[in-house]
Amino acid sequence: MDAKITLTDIAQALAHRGNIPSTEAMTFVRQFFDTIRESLLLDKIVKVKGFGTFKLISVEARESVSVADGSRIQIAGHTKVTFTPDVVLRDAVNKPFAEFETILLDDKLNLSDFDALDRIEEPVALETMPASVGQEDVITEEEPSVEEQTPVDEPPLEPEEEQAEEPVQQEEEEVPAEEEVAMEQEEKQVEEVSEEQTGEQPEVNALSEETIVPEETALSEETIPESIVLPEETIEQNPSLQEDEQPSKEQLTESSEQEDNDSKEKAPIAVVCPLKPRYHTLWQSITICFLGLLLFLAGYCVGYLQPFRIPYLQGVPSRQPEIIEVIEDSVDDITKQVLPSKESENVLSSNDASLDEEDLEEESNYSIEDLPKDAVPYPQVEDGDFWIVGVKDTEIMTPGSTLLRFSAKHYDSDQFLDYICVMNDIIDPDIVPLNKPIKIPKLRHK
Amino acid sequence: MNHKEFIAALARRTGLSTKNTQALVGNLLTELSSHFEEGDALQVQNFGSFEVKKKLERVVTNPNGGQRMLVPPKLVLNFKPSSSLKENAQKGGEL
Repeated sequence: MDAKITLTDIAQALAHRGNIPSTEAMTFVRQFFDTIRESLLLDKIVKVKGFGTFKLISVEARESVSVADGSRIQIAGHTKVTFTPDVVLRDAVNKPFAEFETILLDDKLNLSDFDALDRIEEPVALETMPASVGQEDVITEEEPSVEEQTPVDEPPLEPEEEQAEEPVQQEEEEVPAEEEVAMEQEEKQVEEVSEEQTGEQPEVNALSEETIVPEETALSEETIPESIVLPEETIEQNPSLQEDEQPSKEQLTESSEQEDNDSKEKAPIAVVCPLKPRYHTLWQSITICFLGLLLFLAGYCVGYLQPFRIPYLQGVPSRQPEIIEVIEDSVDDITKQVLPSKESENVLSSNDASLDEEDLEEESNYSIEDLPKDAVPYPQVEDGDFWIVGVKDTEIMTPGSTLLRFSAKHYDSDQFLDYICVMNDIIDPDIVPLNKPIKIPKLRHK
Repeated sequence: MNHKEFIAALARRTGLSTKNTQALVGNLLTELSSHFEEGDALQVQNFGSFEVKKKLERVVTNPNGGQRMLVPPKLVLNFKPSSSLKENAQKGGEL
C-alpha cells in the first residue's frame, strides 16, 4: 500500500504469474518500457491497450511575467510528454471513488439564505403554533386565580411546579445557548405539561363552570398532541413558554397586590386567545372531511372507483360516448338482435334505468359479434373507430424510429398508435425490441 | 503507433511470438493495475514514474451556460517523465 515499487518487483511477480524465469521476465519488462520510449520518440504517440496512451505534445513559445520581479520573460517552446490512462485502468484506479458523481449546483441558493432562514425560524414557529400561545395564556390566567379563590390548594401544588421549573431556569442562566439544553428542556417540558395537567384538575373545579369548558378542552386538545406527537415543536415553544411563566412566578412571590392587577390585565387576553386556535383546528378538520367526501363522490361519478360499484353494474364500460350511443339506439333493436329470450324479458319488464345499464353490457357483445369477416383473424382495438382488416406494410424497428413515427408516416396522424400496438402485441409502446418487424395494420372505418 | 504495432515491435525486440508477447503484456498490465489500485507508485529508470494521486473535489463552471457543478474527488494515475526522456523528446526523437 502506497509503496514505491520498481521494475524488479514487477518482473518477479510476472515471472511467478507467467511461469517464466525471472531473468527473462526482467528483460521483457525492460523491453516493454524501452519499446514504448523508442516508439514514442519515433511516432510521437504510442497506444497500449489496457495501459494508456503516451503522447509527445509540442508547446509553443510564449511570453510570461516573472513572479520574482514582474519583468517580461520568454518561455521557450518545448515538447511535453503526456500519459493518458486507458479507461479500464482509470476506472480501476478510481474504484474507491467510483460512486461519486458530478452534481449540478443550484446558483440561486446562497449561503446568506441559510443565515436568514435561521433568523426567520423562531418567529415562524411561534406564528404557526397559535395553540401554544393559547396554552400559555391559560396557564398564566389560572395561577393567580388559584391564589384568590382556593388558597388551600396552593401549598401542595406550588412546590411541585417550582421544583420542576427552577432547575430549568438555572440551566438557562448557566447555558444560554438553546441548542445545547434543547434535549434537556424537551424532557422537562414533557414533565411540566404532565404536572400542569394533573395539577390543574382541582384548580379548574374551583373555578366557575363557564371557564372550565373552553380551557379544559383547549388543553386536552392542544397540549397532549403537541407534547407527544410533535416533540420538535415543544422544543421551540419551550423557551417562550418558560419566559412567560417566569415573570408570573416572580410576581407571585413579590406582592399580592401586583398579582391582582396582573391577573385582571391578563384575564381578557386569555379568554380570547384559547378560542381562536380551537375554532381554527375545528374548521380545518371540517373542511378536510368535506373535501375528502367531495373527492370520493367525484371519483365515484366519473367511474374511477369501479370496485365500489354495485355488482350488477360491473362489466359495464364506463366510457361516456358509448352510453350516449346506447341511449340513442332504440331499445327494441338491441334486445331483438342480441339478447337471449330470457334476458330480453327481463329487460322489457325492468324500468328505464336498468334498461340502459343492461344495454351497456350488450353493447360490448354487439361490437364483437358484428366483426366483419375480413377482420376476424386480426386482433381488434376495443372502443376503436376502425377495424383491423389486414397488414398494410411492415416496418423494421431501428434505433431512432418510434411507433408514433410509423403511425404518422402511414396514417398521417399519431392517433393510430394503439392499432399498431395491438397488431404487434406490444404492451408498452416505449419498449420495443430492436430490429423487430412491426406490422402496420390496414384499417377500415366501422 | 497503435496497440497492434506496439505488440509487433515488442515481439521483434524480445524475439517472442506475437501471441506470447500479447499474453505477457496482458499479465504485466494486470500486475501493474493491481499495484496501482492499491495506490503504489512505480519508478522506471530512464522512462519515468507512475503515481496515483488524489484530486480533491472542486467546483467547475460551464463557460456557456454559467452552470456550476461540483466535481467529486477522484484518484488519477499520474505519469511523470524522467529527465532523460524529456531531454530526448526535446531533441526531436534522437536517442
